[in-house]
Amino acid sequence: MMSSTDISPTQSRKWESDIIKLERVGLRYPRGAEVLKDVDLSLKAGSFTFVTGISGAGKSTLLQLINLNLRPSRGLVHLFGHDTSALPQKELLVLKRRIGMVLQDFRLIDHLSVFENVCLPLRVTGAVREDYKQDVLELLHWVGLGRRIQALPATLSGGEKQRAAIARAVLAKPHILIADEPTGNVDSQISQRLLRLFIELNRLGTTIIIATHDPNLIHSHTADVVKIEKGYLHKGIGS
Amino acid sequence: MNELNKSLDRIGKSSAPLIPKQGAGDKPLFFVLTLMAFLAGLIFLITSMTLRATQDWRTSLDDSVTVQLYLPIAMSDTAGRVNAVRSTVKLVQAFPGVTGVDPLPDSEAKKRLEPWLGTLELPDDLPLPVILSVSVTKAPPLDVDALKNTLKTAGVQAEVNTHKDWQDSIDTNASAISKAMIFLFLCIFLGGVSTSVFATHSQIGTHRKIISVLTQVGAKNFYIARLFTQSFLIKGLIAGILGCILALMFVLLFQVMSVLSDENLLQSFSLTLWDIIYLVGVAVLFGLVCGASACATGLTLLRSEQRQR
Repeated sequence: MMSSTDISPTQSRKWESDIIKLERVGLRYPRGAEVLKDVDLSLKAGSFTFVTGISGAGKSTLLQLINLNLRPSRGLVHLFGHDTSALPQKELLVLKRRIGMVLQDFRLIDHLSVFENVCLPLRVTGAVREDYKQDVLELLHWVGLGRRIQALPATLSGGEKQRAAIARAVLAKPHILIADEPTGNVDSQISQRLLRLFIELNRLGTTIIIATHDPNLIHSHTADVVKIEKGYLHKGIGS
Repeated sequence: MNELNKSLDRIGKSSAPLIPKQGAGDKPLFFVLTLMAFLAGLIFLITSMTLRATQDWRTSLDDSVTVQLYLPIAMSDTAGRVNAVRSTVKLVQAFPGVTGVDPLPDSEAKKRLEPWLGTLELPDDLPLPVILSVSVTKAPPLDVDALKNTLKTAGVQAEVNTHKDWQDSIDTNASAISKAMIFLFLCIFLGGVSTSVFATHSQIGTHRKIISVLTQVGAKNFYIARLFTQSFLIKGLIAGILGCILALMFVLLFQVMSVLSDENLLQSFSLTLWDIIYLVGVAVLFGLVCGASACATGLTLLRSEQRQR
């Protein structure tokens, strides 16, 4: 089914070094406390990592840093072997398009149908609708939203919204998929279904990073786990 | 596969707009833009017609001079006056550069004094000068001093008026009017720019979530700014065209009314095809200025937000 939206298992293997590398990264919001302190993190291509910690620990901040939505106050963020602090905006955008992100609040555009929401990553690159229409539909069928393609976000359940957000994140065949509390708004059954979706994507070669404070989710799959506590990152916990 | 084909049929051919249409919220903005385009169009047409009319007046003055012939008070008999006028006419007519001499009747001469003396009946024995309207060639120009000398040598008491004071006065007024109109025109365009900038700020604020999603999926700033620009460009163009059509209709109505009221002065302000062509340019320029200012504002806002992250 995943003919053209398929992610090549070898596609993320071309970086011999780490696909994501953070060196002594610190982040302080304007007029706020330091959220992240001296964070060192290295993730291999094709890895599956849970980021855990209590609410407000800085999990989302870490993901936003990796997704280039935030810039560190200090330290270096390397993505795909590039030092992101040295790259111009245009090249950062190219890197950003290789990362898919699923946020806790789904970020679906209210007046657009599920289909229109999911095809956004291709639409903004100027791709021709007729060229990607079938791929998007196949992907929506794959995530179980084949019958809801024209539904507006307001009419979707939490799980359906989450799957639409995931479909959008993986449509452009990202090398890294970041999910912030993807099971935060869904019941345990859907939570497991979503996890299977992430595992399948990981099996196809995508590097997965999931921020969660749901221990059930962490224990239901063997993966690397990093924990953020008081701004510091602790590795190898619960893996 | 069957289900997929059904889904394909259900998907429309064109994409839904990323920025939703605002409906009622757009109307006041459209009204303001139309009003500004109307004022810009009106100012353009009035300026163009005024400058053309003054140019016509100036040209008509270039082609003529006036000779005021003062006959001696003692010369009260009609035959003597007629002979004196006739000989002066001959003298002026023979002068190089003169193409025609037309003595104005007394009634016309009195009419020219009306601005100073009013419409009261003037006494017959009032020694009014005889006015000779002299048509001259532009090249070679009339040697006014030589004409004055010729008349003086011939013993004719006359003044030669080249209308230079009038021409200078027309030039000064035309220059002042055109400067004031250009200033007003620029003010209105600046108003259009400010309106677009303000509305773009407001739109970006309203659609912050959409912008955040688009940024999230990798849209370039220019792509996002273009979404707003397109909407302002279309609104600006429609408002510009509508406003300029209204301005044209207003001027045409004004002209019809002036014809009906037999106002000679207003009739000399006429529209040409070029006025209408330039007016289309004003409408398009208005739309482009609105679109460009919206684009610049959008890009500036998006870049500044990016820098703050």
